Amino acid sequence: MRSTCPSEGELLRLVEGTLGGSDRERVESHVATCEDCGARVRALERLTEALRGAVRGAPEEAASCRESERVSGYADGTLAAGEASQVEAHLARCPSCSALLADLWRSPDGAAERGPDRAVDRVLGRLEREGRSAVVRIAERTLTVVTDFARSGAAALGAGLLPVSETPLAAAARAEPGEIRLSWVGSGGIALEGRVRLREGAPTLIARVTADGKPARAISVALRTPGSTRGPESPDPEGRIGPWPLEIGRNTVVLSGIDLDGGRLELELELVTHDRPDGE
Amino acid sequence: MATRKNIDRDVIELVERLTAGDSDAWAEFIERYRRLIYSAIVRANARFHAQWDETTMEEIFEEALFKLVRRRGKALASWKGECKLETWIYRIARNVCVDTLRKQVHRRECDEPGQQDGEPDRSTALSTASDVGRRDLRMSLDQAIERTLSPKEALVVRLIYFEGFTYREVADRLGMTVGAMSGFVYRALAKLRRDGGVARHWEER
Repeated sequence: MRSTCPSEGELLRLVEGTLGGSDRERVESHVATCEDCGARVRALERLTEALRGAVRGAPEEAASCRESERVSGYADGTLAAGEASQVEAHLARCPSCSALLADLWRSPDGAAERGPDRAVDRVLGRLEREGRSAVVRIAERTLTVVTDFARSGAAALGAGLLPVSETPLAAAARAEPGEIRLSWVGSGGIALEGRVRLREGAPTLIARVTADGKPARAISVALRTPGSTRGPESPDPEGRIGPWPLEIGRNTVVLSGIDLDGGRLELELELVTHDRPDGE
Repeated sequence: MATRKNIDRDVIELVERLTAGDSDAWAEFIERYRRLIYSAIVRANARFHAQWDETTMEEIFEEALFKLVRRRGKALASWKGECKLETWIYRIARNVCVDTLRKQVHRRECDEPGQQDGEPDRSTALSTASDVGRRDLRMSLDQAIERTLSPKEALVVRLIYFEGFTYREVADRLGMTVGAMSGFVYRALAKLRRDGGVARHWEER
């Protein structure tokens, strides 16, 4: 490069079209006469064109990376110098983090939409439900199996026809993250296996009813919650019912039908709220 | 929270009210950041060629928003002030997008039998056949950038050429002048040009 040649930066800015006014004229007329600089400019044109032609949004960008937390700090310039250069070294190798940085650095789109109101309303609704039932559990004392022979007069059929286990369901209820399993076996060969799912404060019941180990289709199932009644419905061919929404308070699952010899079984699940222990 | 220095007092107060269970704070938080969250989703949709329709974006928006405010804004407890709250929220929203995309790609692979052998090919699920050539180019450029350039050079080249930033934008972010930046980029490009592995992409045909 001769001493009269433009700087490397000037050549590049000529190629990129960011050199203004008299500077551009000077560099342009030089390049027209200097073989070296002309070759450099042509090479730069090919190179920058190739770079810009590469696809944006490489698939590798769609990944989550553990370093992305520090990339946030780098983007805001809050990291100490040593840490910042560590992050730079990582950015050089990680397409997902460098894409994240680019998006964080890109100025926010002033015309961007605010996000649909409907979704915001749903979130507020979910928050409210969550507030009412931070967690749902089945209280040991109130989880009982009730046969209503005495109350409904079905006792006239004779208690002996349907000897029902009075085993409290609680003994068989087992809490797992996000759900509570229920298992109840009556001595008349009727069994109910179920799950109460606890999702974002909206518990649901799924259950399967069997008679002597086979799907009980001759039984119908109804659900009474504090606010509504559902069924009676026949279980599906596998003996399944639900998912049915439960509510805080007393929920009663009513089984009836010929498999019960015309009697009825009521299973009561009382859902109460208490504070969710820390963690998931 | 001790590390949340240099963060606006009113932002810290809002987060504290939220985590203390003040339900008015929810609405305020949502109003303040909903545009930011939605724009993260719109941008991810374009960047990842996700082809989400409005309904899908609405669902992602709901999930991201709920994730932030649920359980008395518990998630916010992990924001320690290491970056601005906006930056932190943007990253959370984008993670929800990446998760959604991953599920979507996984579903598509399950729907297409004959792709069960070996590693699932994420790239074909994410872009169309017409992108293949440009994707090859991008991959060999990524490798050459990593092999040849210093971390800072690599960052600058990516931002300018892959992300469409101007020299001034990058110079401002990195505390350089535009003049110094163009010299810096020139030297990075000169290194790249000499890299034998990718020279075929720009040597004269």
